[in-house]
Amino acid sequence: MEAIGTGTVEARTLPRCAGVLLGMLLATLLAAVLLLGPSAPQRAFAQQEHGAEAPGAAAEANGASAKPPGVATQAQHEAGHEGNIELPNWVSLLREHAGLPPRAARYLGMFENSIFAMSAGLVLTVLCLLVFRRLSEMPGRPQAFAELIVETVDNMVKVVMGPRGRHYTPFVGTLFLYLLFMNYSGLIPLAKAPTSSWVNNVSLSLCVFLYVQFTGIRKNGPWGYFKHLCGSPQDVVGWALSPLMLFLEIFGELIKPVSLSLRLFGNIFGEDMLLAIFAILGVAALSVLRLPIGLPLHFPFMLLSMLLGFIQAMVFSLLSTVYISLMLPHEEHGHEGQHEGQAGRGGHVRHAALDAQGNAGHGGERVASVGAAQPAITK
Amino acid sequence: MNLLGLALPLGVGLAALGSALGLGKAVSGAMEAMGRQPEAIGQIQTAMIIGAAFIEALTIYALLVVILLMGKLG
Repeated sequence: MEAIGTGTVEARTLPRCAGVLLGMLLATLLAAVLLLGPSAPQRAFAQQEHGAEAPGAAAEANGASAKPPGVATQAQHEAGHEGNIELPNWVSLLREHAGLPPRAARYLGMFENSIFAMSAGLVLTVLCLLVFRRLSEMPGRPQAFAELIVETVDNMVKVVMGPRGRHYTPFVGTLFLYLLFMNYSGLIPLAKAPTSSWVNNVSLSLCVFLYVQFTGIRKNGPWGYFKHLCGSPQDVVGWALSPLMLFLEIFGELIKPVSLSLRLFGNIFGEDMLLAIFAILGVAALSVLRLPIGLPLHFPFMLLSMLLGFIQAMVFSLLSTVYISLMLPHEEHGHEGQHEGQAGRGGHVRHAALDAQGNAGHGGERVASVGAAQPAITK
Repeated sequence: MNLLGLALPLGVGLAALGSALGLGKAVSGAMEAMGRQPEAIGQIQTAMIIGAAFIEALTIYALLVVILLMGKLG
């Protein structure tokens, strides 16, 4: 991994990234200016204060359209956000300015997030197909980069679950890449991050929820799964408390997808709103000139949202990994003397992580010594 | 005028205060551990990020409440 991330690559990559980012920035600003017009921001803010009565251009800035009021409010309700500011994207532009019939515009508004989610998935699929169409023993740059990603995700999963986590790497990795693409599509001009709507995140976290339950039933067996939900009782006291534990565990399982999706939604939605607000502020700052230009006030927040998008994608996939690993059977740790032989299947995170580290070739000596010292610690 | 206008930012501020205390404690612990065992940085970072996500979620919930109630302002 170190060999790939050398300075020579970075020296050429950074200016390119900066160029792409600058282009994105200018295009976003241009789009905001085109849509809002030089003097629109004041009206937008005024309309924010006065509720949804103001017609015309102010309503456009607000993400609502020039549709009849009833349709607009209904569409806003379905989209789950009312009165929020967001940067224009091509679907909303089409909806508001293409003169579509109200019904078509409404359907377009309902499928706005799905369109962007599917296009993110499509881009990801095409990229993967392009890279993996011709695999070779001597990887070129695209393949090396793909392998780097796969290896990183694999290591991430292994740290949480141990070597047996490799089975779940495809699921977690797909989740991670898909989320990353969706989060980053909020940075592309005339696109939005579909993860800034709750519905999209709920569907993803429901996938995770169902997969976790499926994994639990398959790995534990139906009876073992039930016992796990009862808190894995060992003795009479455990069985006596099991109804309470059953209730708690089921509640805990159900609350997981809710918190998972709310976290992603809150982060990405807040970040998108921040971008939009500062873009509008930048336009408002120069609106006295009556020119279609604006200050790039939202530039630092674009950098921030690049970081946040990555972290949130990682957090979502990491937490899914943790949920899966919590559902797996608690295997016996094995006697410490058999550590070398057992660790491959051992459920203990620490053992497994140490083992993975040993496999990676980092400080094998140290790992061995820690493994030898383990009996003293655990006893 | 409207007390909600005062309550919403205050609520987020309080939630952020609690999260900040928790995050500070978590990250300082992780940093200490990293300093003591530099070879385990990867694992510590993973665990830290998971914990930070859980802590941060609390502020996000407060923020969500604010966003939901923002329509009632004014």
